[in-house]
Amino acid sequence: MKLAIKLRHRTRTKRTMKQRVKRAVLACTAFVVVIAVGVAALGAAWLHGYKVPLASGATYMRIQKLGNTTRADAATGPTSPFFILLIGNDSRPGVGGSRGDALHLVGVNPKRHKATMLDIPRDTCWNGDKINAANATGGATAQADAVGGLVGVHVSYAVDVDFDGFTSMIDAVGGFTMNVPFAMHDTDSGAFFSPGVQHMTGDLALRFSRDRHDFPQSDIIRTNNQGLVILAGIAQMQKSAATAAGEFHLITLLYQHAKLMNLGVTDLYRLGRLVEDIPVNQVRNVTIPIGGGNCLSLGGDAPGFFADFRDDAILEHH
Amino acid sequence: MASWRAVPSPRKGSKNANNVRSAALIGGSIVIVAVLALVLAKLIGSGGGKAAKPKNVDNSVGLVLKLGAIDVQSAGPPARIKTPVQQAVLDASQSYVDDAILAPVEKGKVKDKYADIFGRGVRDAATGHDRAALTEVRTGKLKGTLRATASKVRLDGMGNQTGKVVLVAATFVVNVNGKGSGGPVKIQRLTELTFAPEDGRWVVTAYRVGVKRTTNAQTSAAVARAGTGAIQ
Repeated sequence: MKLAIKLRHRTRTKRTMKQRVKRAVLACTAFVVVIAVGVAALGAAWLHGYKVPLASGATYMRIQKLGNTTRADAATGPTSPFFILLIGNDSRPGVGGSRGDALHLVGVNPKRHKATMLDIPRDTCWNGDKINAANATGGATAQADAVGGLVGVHVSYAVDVDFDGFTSMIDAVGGFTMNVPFAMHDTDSGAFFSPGVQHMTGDLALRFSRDRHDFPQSDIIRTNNQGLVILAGIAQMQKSAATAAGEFHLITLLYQHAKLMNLGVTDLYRLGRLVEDIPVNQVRNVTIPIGGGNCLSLGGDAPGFFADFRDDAILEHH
Repeated sequence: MASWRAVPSPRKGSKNANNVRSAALIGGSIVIVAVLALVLAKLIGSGGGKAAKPKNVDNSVGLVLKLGAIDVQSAGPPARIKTPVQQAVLDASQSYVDDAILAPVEKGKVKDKYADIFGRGVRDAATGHDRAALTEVRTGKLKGTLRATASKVRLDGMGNQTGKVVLVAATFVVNVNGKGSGGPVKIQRLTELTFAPEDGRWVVTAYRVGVKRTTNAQTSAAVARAGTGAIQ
């Protein structure tokens, strides 16, 4: 009898121990679940209250402030003209290298609220080579040096974008509207457009920008067409940045997709405000004078043309 | 023996009760933590939940700006506009309303300290060619009873790569009704002042202002915008 009671007592103690362990495990699980749900709820609430750029993991674009450029946030007032180089490189899956196939030098005159964009054909000769080769050898800095050397100006900023970056950025801002000036039927670039106003997605804008087979002057016209896309993009940006919230949203988008070198949020903001202050109809889109040859020589009036541009970043007499 | 036999039955009941208790505990904890998280986030977003008021109000019509919605976008981790920054921006906005909008219609001139809220990059423009749009100096002193109302001040913040807020925009509407020499005067203003730190102070680094003035059934409108820095 005593033995039976002892055995039952031991069994009971064992059961109690088992129950205690079970309860401890349950409590731990509950604790972990509560913490996890709490953190998730806090995160959700946090995200609800703040706009956080979701890391895309992809760098589509590089925006670089080049040497000897005074910080844009020096806050001493808008004064001097300055120059930005826009580079569209040909880097894409399956194609090596990153030559500067689309080159546009934008001169900005903040005082006069005017700008001029020089379209530079990729085959333009510079130092015995095609000018677009500089980007493949020395990146945006070398490309800026080459274009700056050709025109005779110091380039303060370089924006470098590849095919993916170009389409992604346009899609990120919801595309833009532009007037296609002529019909396009080019199977190589996939550009099939009727003339007229139409909405451009990133992909359509890329097709439009790449078409050169529709024109006898090939890359010369293509370069100018790229300028039209840039102007339409600026018009769209100005529309989106009509309020401070819109401006901040654009900056956030840039940070999601661009690698910024020597630039901060305030620099971008001030640059953006400068661009906003220039009506699109005050931005001239002009291709530089070109001669001939495989490595394109400059046209006869090039020295005067560049001098007109570099004194105040505005082309007035050409 | 009977007592030992009777044990399983109550144990079964207590097991069920334990399960119910555990489930209630977990569910309750989840709800409490979620509610706390939401409250905490709400408090952080609104700067502690206290309705911020300007430290100094210097107008006779009793117009006091109040803080409204706050929205922050960030180029990096989540950012928030800290309470002292909210206060500094609200104070400067109130100062602008008092000195540039209400002082001219109450006393006939813009207050001397009007320029103090502007940063170096825009001060010349604000005191020069944009003064007519930014202030009511051209409207001049109004007669009779003045009525002035304002919307809540919306704050938009921009965080940098480290989540530090480096730009704050204050947007608000101010309406003023009074009587001029030629009859009733109605002023409607939409103001957006963007602030940035400069020499340890939050000052206006950019602005957008639109104003519509109606006098004797004639309406005039003016806009002004500035906000750039030097680029060499």
